[in-house]
Amino acid sequence: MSELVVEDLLVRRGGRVVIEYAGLGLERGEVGCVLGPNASGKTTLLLAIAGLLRPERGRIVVSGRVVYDHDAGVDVAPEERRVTIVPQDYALFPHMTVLDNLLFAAKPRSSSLGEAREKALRIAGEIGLQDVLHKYPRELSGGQKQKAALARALVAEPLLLLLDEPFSALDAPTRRVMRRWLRETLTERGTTALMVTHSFSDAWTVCDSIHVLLAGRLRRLGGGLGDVEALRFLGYQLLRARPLGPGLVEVEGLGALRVERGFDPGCSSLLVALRGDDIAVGVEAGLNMFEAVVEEAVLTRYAVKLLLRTEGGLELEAEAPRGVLLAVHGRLPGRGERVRLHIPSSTVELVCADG
Amino acid sequence: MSRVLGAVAVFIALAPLAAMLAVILYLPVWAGLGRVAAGFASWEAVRVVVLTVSVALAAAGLAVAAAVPTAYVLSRSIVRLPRIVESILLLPFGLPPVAVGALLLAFLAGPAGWLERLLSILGTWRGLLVAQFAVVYPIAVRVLRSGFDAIDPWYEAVARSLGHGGLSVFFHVVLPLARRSVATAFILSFTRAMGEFGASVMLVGLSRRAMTLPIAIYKYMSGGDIAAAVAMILVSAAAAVASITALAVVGERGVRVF
Repeated sequence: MSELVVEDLLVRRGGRVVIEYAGLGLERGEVGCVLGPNASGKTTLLLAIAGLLRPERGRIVVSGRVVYDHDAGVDVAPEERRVTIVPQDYALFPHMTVLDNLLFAAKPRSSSLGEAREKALRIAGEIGLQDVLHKYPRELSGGQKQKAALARALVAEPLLLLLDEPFSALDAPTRRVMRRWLRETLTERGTTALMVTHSFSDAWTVCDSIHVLLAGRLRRLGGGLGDVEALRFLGYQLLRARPLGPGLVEVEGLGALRVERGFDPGCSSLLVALRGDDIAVGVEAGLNMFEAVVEEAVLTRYAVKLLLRTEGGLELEAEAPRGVLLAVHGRLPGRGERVRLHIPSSTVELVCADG
Repeated sequence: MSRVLGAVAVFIALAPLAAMLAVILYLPVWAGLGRVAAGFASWEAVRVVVLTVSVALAAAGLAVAAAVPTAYVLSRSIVRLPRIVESILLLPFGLPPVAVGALLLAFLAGPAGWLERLLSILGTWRGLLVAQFAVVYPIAVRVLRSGFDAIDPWYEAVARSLGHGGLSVFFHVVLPLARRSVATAFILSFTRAMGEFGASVMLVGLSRRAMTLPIAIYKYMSGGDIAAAVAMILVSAAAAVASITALAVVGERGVRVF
C-alpha cells in the first residue's frame, strides 16, 4: 500500500514556480530520497507535504488519507497530518532538555503525561539517548543532536517522516556512522521516510528509491533503471553497453564488465553509468580490471583528475584523492603513461535509455 | 598615537556621565542635606513614589500583554496588514508625548466621552495609566517584534508537525524562546513609564491626587521647593540605574543561554 502519494504538485514561492508537476510515491516502510542541487526546491517539497506551505495545485495522500487536494478544497492542518519533519539543523527546542523535547513530541498522541513519559523514555532507550536526557541541545555533539531530533520525530508516531539534509551538519566520519545508523533505525522500525539531500552518497547509502528534482520536476531513479538526464546531472559518465548475460555487460570500447545491479535483458539501449571517483587507478583487483593511457592529468591541491583513453578508444574521466593515488600507485601518473584501472561492480549503475 | 586617540574617546564618552554624576551628588548639598532628607521622609513623597512605581508597573505589564500578540502577528505576517497600519500602531513612538496626551484628551472629551463618564479617567491615576500605556505600547511592540523576528520559524514548523496546534506552539515554544525580549520590553516600558510627563500632565494636570515623580519634580521646581524636587530627582535616578542594570543582566543571560 502506498504510504505517500504526491500528484501534480505546483508550489510557488515569492512569485516563482519552485515545484511543477511533481509526482512521487512511497510504499509503506520505504525510504525515498529526493536528490537535487542547492535551491532546487527540495525543502519546499517537504514543507508542502508537511502542510507548512500551501501548494497552488495538486494532491497529497498520506497513508490513504487525502491531506491536500486543491480541486476538492482539502487542506489538512500540519498538526493533524501525522507527518513529522526533521530540519537540516534539527531545530531541537533550545529551552528544553532532550527529555522535555521528547515529552513535548509525545504529548499530542498520549492520553496522559505518564503515557507520554513512558513513550519518551522507551524511544530514548532504543535510540541510545539515556545518558543525555537531562542535557540541553547546546550541550550535545552533532551526532547526539541528530539522534535526539530523530527520536523526537519518531516519538510523535508519524505515518511519514520527512528528513531535510540530515547529515549536512556532521563531519565526514560522524556522517558515515550516522548514515548507517539512520538506515538501520528506519528499517528496524518500518518507518516510511522521505529524505532530501544534495549528496549522492547520502542518498545511495540510506534510500530504497531515489528521485531527482530537476528544474522543479521529479524523476525517479532506482532498480538499476533510471533517467539519463538525471544521471548526467548527478555527475555520471554514460557509456554505451549491451547485455552479455546475468550480471555481465559489454561496454563499447572497454570490454566485459561485471555489474551488481539488475537490468532488463530486453533493453536495446543499455547505458553504464559511472562516476569518476568510482574508478580506482593503480588498484589491483580480480575483476573488472582494464588498461588505459593517460591523455591528460590535472593536479589540484587535493585531487588528481585523469582523462584516460582505452585501447578501444573509449574516453573515461577518473578522479582520485592525491594522497590515495600516491599511496597505491607510488607516484602521480603523467601524460602518455599506461595505467591499470579497476571499476568496482557495486558502483556501476545501469540505465535503459529505450524510448 | 592609538593610545592617545583611545584616551580622547574614553574622555568624550565619560565626561558627560561624570558631569551628570557630579551634578546629582552636588544637588543635595546645593539644596541643603537636611531639607532634602525631609523631602524623602514626607508622606507626600512616599505617596508619589508608590503611585509612580505601581502605575508604571501596571502600564508596562498591560503594554507588554497587549504588544505580545500584536508583535507576533506582525512578525509572522499571520494577517497581511498594509505597512501603513504598522506605522499607525507605532505612531505614539514618534509623536511628542504631550501631543499624544492632547490627542487622548480630545478623544476622551469627544467621541469617547461615555468612557470618561464610566471610568472617570481624567485627573485620576487611571488617566496616568492610559497616558503611560499609550506612550510605552509602541516601544513594547517594537522590542517584541524584533524578538519574534529573531526566532527561527523552523521551531514553530517542527512543533506543528509534531502535532501541536497554534496556541500550544505559541505558549510552549515561541513565548519561552522570546522570554528575554519580553523581559526587555517590560523593563524598557517600565523605565519609560516611570519618566513619562508630557502625556500624563495633559490627562491629570498637576493635581496632588495623581502626582508621579516627573510631575512632582516639575511642580516642586516651579513652586520653588528645590529640596523636595531634588529628593524626587534622586529617587528617579536610583530607579533609572536599577532599570538599566536589570536590562544589562537580561542581556548577559541572553549570551550565556544560546
